[in-house]
Amino acid sequence: MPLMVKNLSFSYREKQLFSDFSISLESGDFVLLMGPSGCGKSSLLKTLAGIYPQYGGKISGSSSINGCLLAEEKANDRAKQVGLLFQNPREQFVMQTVEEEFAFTLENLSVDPKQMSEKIDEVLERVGLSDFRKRLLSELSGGELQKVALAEVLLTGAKYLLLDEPFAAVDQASRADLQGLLASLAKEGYAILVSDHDDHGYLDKITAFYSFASGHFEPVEKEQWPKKKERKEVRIQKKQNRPVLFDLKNVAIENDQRHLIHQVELAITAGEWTLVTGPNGSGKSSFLKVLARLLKADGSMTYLGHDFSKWKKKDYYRQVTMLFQNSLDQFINITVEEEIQQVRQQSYQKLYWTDEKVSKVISTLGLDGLSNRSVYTLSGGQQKKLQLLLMVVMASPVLLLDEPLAGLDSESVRAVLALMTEVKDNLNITLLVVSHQVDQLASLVNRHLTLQNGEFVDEEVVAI
Amino acid sequence: MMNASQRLFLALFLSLEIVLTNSLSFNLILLLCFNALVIYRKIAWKRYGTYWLVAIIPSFGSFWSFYLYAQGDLAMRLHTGLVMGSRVIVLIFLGAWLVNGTKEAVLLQSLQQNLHLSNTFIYGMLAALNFMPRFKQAFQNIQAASQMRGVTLRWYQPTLYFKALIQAIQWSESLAMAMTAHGFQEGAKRSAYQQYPFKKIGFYWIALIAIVSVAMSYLPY
Repeated sequence: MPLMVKNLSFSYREKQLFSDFSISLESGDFVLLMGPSGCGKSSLLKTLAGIYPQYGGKISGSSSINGCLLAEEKANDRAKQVGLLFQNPREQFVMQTVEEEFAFTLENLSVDPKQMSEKIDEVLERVGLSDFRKRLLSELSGGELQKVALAEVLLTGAKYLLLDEPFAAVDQASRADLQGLLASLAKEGYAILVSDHDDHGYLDKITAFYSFASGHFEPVEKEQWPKKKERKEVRIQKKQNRPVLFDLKNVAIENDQRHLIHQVELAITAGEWTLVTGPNGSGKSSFLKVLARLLKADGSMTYLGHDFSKWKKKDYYRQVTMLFQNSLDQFINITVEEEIQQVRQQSYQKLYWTDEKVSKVISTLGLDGLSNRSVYTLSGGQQKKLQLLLMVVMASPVLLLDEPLAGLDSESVRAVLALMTEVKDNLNITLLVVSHQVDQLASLVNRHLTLQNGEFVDEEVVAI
Repeated sequence: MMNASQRLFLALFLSLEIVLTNSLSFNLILLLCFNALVIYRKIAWKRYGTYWLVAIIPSFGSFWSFYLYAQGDLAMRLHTGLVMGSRVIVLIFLGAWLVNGTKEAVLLQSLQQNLHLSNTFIYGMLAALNFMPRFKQAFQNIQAASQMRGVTLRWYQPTLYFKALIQAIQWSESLAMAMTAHGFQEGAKRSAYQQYPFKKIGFYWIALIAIVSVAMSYLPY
């Protein structure tokens, strides 16, 4: 019995996001859904999972299984059939630990308590997190959280799995693992609908491909699917003899009492664009937080020759700013307009950011027409682009970026990288980027640091 | 000996008795007992010291105001002041005994199972408690994000709380959606991974402690 979706349309706050979406999702299907930021991919998946219209929006059309309308089913019955993995991994858990969270879901579904323990072990092993049962969710990395979320969806026994950009914060190896897992689940009889901005790794696994155009999600003929890209290595264009900004010696970083990084020596020089990669949970974000003074670490750490923990924060943050992984953490006003005006007033490069230049960038990033919108009602991609715009307009000498491309479609990624290149070249800003999406970054960066066994290693190439 | 709900009942009963009893000896015996029980829990000395620090000012204030302004002669006022002052410390250590021996999540789930409280209320409370570390992190992030944008937000400025409030509203909506997606339905039948049944021996202990404490409340002075 397929999940039948007929002429589904969705509008939110009087704005139509998509219309006339129809699909018959059957056992064994593995469907990829692609579209630009803000086109309504998340809303579509939430509608299919019965979250909307319960939590807002208006729908017309229907989605049903075996003739039962999903929107009319009780949540505990629906969850046994349709599982949803949310875009933001930090906002989908109720409890503190992995075990408590999984028990919560099993309790909702009235599963026999005697079977719970076994089921929890089973799904954790399935996603490769066998030893995560007692771990605190608040201490897991974005990628680890997504794996836990996938395990939780599998736990419900739902045969229709809806995944909303599940790999935005997952490293390449884990992405390939999880895509393989999804493909094997489809072969076992699960039906999978996944939205993503990046088709990498899907094309030899999916059974159907839907793309967004002119307000509709339409199926794309197999002949017109994007071509599979060949793996290659891009050599780094290194810069020499630059003054040292950050000088780190014998630095030890811990999180959740786990030893993450021990770096004997590392220098970051001015004007460089450094890419930081490594497996999920290896400590990349923690490293940026240490440089941004949001996390403490042991060892000698200087900025411009002075111990940066002794700088007044106010002065330090005039030099070093950070683009947070979670966009909402960056905003301090309500509307888009207020946010942009605030950074223009405080910018360290007021002369550079003229009205004309700011308007042009807003337009390039696809943020025009949103000035009166609350930043909290923007789509994930729009929030990310606005967040980046704010920080480049501030234009501090050093900008640390934690997953700046997560949740962005390829056109947005191009626009964002063009903007970063422009400010780096024109304003001589030093960029330090943690990203799992390296394809388009590879040819732009001057340095590639990978975290291997708790230590940064300088690489000559970036594999894409 | 007692499950989490029974501990709460005992704590509530003793609290009521403490505020209705006018005996310094009674307060001192309870203070000794609960101090010993808190130390027995092997809590950090810093935390133990914090309990005394928190207790000392209201306790002294209470003693002093009754000593100065209560009715009766000097001896009566001294007695009333000491009873009132020691009462504050006993109540704090009674609370410390309760919270150090019981995880909040266990207490809430135990109350849900034993008293059939609403699941929505219980999981709402649990989610709020789980948000606490995130709140702390959020405050830190909001302050850092503001400083990175040239604005310094101090702890006393409403903007900081306004922003935190907006984030909390945002989280609560996301959380409600996640709970629904994970099968949480208000009023629906649920199973329980961990059972927290009332213990018979727990009621015997409550009865014994109640009898002894009522008898102690008649102690002289």
